[in-house]
Amino acid sequence: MSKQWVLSGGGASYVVVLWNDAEAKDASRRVAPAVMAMCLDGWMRTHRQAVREMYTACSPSSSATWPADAVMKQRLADAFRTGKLVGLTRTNAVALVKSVAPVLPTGAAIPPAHGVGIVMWNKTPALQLRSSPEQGDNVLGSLAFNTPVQVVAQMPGGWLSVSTRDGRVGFVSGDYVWSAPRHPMPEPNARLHRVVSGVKGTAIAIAEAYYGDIARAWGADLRFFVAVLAQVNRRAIPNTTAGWKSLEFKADTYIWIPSKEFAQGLRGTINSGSYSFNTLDVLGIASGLQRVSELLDDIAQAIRLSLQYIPQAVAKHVEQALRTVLIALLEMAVGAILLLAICTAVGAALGALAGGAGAAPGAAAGFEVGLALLEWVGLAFLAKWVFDSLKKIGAAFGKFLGKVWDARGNAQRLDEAARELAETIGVLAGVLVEALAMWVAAKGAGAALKALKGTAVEKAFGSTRLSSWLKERSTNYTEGKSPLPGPRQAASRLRERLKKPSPPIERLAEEAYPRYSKELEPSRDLIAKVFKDMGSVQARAKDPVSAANRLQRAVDRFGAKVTTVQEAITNLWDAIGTRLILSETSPAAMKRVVGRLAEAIRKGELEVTEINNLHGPDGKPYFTAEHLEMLQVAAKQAGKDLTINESKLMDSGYTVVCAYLKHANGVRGELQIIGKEVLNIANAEHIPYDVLLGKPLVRNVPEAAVLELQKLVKPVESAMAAMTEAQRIQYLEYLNQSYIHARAMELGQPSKPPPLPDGLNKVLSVERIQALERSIAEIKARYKNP
Amino acid sequence: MQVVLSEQKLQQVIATALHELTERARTGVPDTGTFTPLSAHFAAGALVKGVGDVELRLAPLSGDAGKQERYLDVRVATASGGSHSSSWVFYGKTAALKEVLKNEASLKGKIRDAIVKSAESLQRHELG
Repeated sequence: MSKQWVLSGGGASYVVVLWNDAEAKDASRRVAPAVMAMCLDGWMRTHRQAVREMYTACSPSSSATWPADAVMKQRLADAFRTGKLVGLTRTNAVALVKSVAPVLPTGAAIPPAHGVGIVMWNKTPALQLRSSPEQGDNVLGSLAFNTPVQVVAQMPGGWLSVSTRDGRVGFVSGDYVWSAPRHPMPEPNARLHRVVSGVKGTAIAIAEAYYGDIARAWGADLRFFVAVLAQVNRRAIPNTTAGWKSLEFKADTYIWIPSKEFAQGLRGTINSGSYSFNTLDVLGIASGLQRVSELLDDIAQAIRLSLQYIPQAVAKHVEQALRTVLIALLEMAVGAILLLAICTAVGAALGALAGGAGAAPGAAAGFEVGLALLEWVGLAFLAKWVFDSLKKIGAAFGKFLGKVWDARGNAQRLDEAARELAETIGVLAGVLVEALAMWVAAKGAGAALKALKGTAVEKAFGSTRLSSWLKERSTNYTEGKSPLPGPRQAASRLRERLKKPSPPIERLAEEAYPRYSKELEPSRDLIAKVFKDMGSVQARAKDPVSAANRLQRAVDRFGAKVTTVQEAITNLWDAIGTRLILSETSPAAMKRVVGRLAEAIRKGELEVTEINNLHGPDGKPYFTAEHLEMLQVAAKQAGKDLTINESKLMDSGYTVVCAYLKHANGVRGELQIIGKEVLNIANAEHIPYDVLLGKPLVRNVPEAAVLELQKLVKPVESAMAAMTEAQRIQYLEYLNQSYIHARAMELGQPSKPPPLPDGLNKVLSVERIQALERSIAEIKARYKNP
Repeated sequence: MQVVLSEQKLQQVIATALHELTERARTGVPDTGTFTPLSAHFAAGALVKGVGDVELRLAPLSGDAGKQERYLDVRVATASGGSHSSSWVFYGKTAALKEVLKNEASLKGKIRDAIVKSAESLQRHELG
């Protein structure tokens, strides 16, 4: 009888057979040797016995000794490549999904693993994560009490194969992790509490400790939270008036503490009064919990179903050479982390669901999931490069969550959700490839390799292969052969900004400057006349250095023809910058501003070609839809076309109206309309924005000022460089909230400035950045007028 | 700047959307009085660089003016959907609108130009 081994990893199961096995001829099930080779690392940890059997079966001698791991791995990889060993997909892979197939050696009768678990060991030393399922000199790290883990498989001897959110994979003793089926978590964000004896061990004291603040703020008394604790820990409340007061948990045992959001979500289906177990059941808590459990099962099943669609989806988005590697890597990530990531991200929304009113969480939760995947594969540092695409990926994950939310066990809907998920993973794969290429191009292949050491990417590729791939990608990218859109555009913008203009462009910019700057005073006067008494007006003519940069971008990006001074002037769409700083931005004041602007357009005093109405997420723009309609009408009445752009995606919250004007003699200009408070933020915010873009803060200044300015801006540049991706996102949100606060101040609405998020360097606070901006201005002024 | 990726297909989808809108405008736009805005959408991601969906929207002006005056807005969204660009290819009364809609070929050209202009504008201002 021929030998077969069933091995799993990263959520996928494979059958390995010898070349002479009848099933080896089934070409439709064959898996690429490269994929098998990449699985070997994991199998050597999780399926050691099976791997040894495979080695023995295809080696010429029947020795019972085995070589070093590296040698064995190499020989097995060779065996797959030469066809001695053949990897096959499992024929019943899809049918197995409901049972959550574990990573098992053939013939082992071990119960299946189940989803997410939590570390319940709270003593010193902390629970140890090991590289193999045995005691010994194999510690990879430690896991603190209440650390969530994804249980990938149950192993012989009571060990669990687990994965953590920060990308660690290893083994822990199953005695110290609570997970289904023995200890199913009531909800993904629940934590454990060790009960102590005495008064502190009563349910009321525990409820006070964990929910006291929201009980007071939210109007529910502690009896409700006692009832929640009783329900999730399957304890009955004595059915008497004061029964809830007497509920106690046994000292030195562990109980589940649901998150505040979840506990709050359970409310709404019950009234005050009796909180006995039976009443809770009737009133819906129990069925709410059941629904959550059903949903988590659906998510897990959709994830597993998605595995069969991932190869096709990745193929759609990634070039051939990389597919096998990425498919294996992402399948591994999907199996190892996705459930944990999704559960964590959507955990808060589950509470509302249990209460009966919950809708599926959307793109924000999806964004978290995308970030978690990046973190797990060790590429979180790329988030800076894929930020825009990550939003798209977040929306796609959100779509998946929406589908699975409504599936309620329906096989067809779950399959649709699985396809959606696979497509999202495919998009993520494409984006990652592109971002890696850009990053390598910017950093250099050697430095990139060093930074990738130890990540899941390096493990999946193998360092030699990764090295040659990185070099090849870097060359392709530099030569413009990179096939995918997306973050490449962002990087090319950055490169454009850093690129020095060509000498002819610099010369044209120098020659154009005196001609267009003649329009400075007339433009300032015109704006002041049109918006008389509405605010103060600032104006500047673009300096020749900035103008040359702008012209070079027009040439590179838009193919603009810039060979004469007049063409240079035509292509400088902000040669004259004017700014109207409004003294008032109330709705009535804005109506007057827009009325004036519309009148000026109608009368031909101002020729406005485009208007950008910009703000950040949840921000309040200066112009309303009615204002914009009024301006379109005015333009039409003047017989002109007007293009109006609106964006709610200014990551840092930048809020402004920019109108693009045609001045006399073909000179073009930008008119910014902004309130005083927002301008205070904008003046400072451009500093971190430039750093994020990679623009040097010290530029276009006299040589003598460089050193002084560099010393001044260094702390901010260092603080921003030290930020993690998650902190960068937090910081952008902080800036966005600062704009929202400034707008609220302008409108006389009550608002508090947002606090700088914990963990961020204080030099990044708006106040400190504003002070820095003032110092920079002073130094520049000093060198301008020594 | 070359932003159109497939001129022929772009012309086709504009023609289809415009035809659909014109059909609906026949019964949906009164000579006087306001009406529910009519719109036709199409995906232009594969046809115009940097663009997602395009909406042709025929609507009355807001307020009292809406009883008489109408406009046809060409609204171009970016691929992310987070930004959009808007330009009017018609503004006037119902009678004039009906005349314009009779000449679909001419209107189609204006819509095409508006889409291209919007796409360029969004790119120029780096609005994603």
